[in-house]
Amino acid sequence: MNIHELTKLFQGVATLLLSEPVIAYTRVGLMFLGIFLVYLGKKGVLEPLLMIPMGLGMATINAATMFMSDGSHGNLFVDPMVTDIDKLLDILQIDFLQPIYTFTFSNGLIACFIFMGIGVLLDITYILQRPFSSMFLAMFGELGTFLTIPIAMAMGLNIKDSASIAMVGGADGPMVLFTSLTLSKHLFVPITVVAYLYLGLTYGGYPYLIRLMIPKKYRGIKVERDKTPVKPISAGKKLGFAVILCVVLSFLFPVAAPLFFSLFIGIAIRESGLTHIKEFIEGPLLYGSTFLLGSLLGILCEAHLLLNPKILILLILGILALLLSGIGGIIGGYVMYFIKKGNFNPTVGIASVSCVPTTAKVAQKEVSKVNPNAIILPEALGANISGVITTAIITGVYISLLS
Amino acid sequence: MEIIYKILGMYGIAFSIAMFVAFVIWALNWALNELSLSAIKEKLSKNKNQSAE
Repeated sequence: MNIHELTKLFQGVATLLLSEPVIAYTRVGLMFLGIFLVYLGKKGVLEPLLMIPMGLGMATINAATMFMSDGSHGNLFVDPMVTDIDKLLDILQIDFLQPIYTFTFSNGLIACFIFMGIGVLLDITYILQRPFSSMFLAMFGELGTFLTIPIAMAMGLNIKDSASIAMVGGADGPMVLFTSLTLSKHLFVPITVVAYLYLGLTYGGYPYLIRLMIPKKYRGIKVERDKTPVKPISAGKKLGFAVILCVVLSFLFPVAAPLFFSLFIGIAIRESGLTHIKEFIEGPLLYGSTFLLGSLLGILCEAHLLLNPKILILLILGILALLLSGIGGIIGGYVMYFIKKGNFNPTVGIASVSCVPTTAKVAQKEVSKVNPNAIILPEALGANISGVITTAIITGVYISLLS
Repeated sequence: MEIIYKILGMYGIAFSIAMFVAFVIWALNWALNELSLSAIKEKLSKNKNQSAE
């Protein structure tokens, strides 16, 4: 067997040896990073639903590079950069994940499916009981979504790319995907990967931010609630709210209407008692979409796609956006504390960063550690759900004004 | 400086829409509670009782 035949037989190794050193090192690095992500997912440090398929995808795609018919290096998974229609039709018949990428990923459908799943899981009672305070807090929790833009521009990104990476501050994966697909398609892979990597860290990182910014005496505040029993909100009323809000918001921002429709149809299905459809959306559709999203994100982490000089800037800006939003949320909590003359726990503010329901759980957990009798979950979930709506509104504003 | 104004403008728009959404929710909640048939019936029966007393 000569060297030519060996090269033909072990194409993964051959392409590694024949590629530029920077590409080769990045490929090896990404293979190890992928395996490490699987490990972190299994250990529960990062979200396993996303990280296990993503990590395996990342490791595999960087191992499975081969020689294509024209002599270039490629793979049999997906080609995200193809734009020519004839070439796309060819690739759709060759790359096994190309149909899923083309028909669900690049048009934002997968983001909408996940948003439907989120809608089905949301109980809007909490926001209906205190709409003004929840929405007010949620706008504080968007601090990173706005403040990151000038910082990103100062670091050399244009306004569209800056807005896309700033959306990480909204802490909603589907929204980051949707915005970056519309505003900066050339950077949507690294931006979405950065977003999903960091979103998993909110559970581990935000408790430290809470402890740093909120002294124990404020963290343990028990909110005194009105003694009169709260009227239960019927499913019919909640359905009415979902329908009217969907129509109003879609009327205001048609560009983000797919997101509004997906979120509110999820809520509408939940409240209308359509059990079979609800079970389908919260089970196969949500889990199936998350699995495909994770796998595709991993597979898109090919060395030459991630060797963009902007990736380091995106990594810094992503974490900065989440940090600023967390700080903004806590500032909002303090503002509400002063508005309500001390009858408000500022820890609720962190829940306005709309990583549903992680940040609400983090807030309650940190409060319970200081004062086990203090229950802030209803306020926290109100701010949390409002955060989803405000992030969708900001998506609409960015896409409308910047595209 | 221009970009700061633009961002402040976008924040202003988003904040106004968020508050508008909160107002829509509050108004709907109020209307459904106060103007529903059962609420009107309840009020009428209260008035009847008061006038009988």
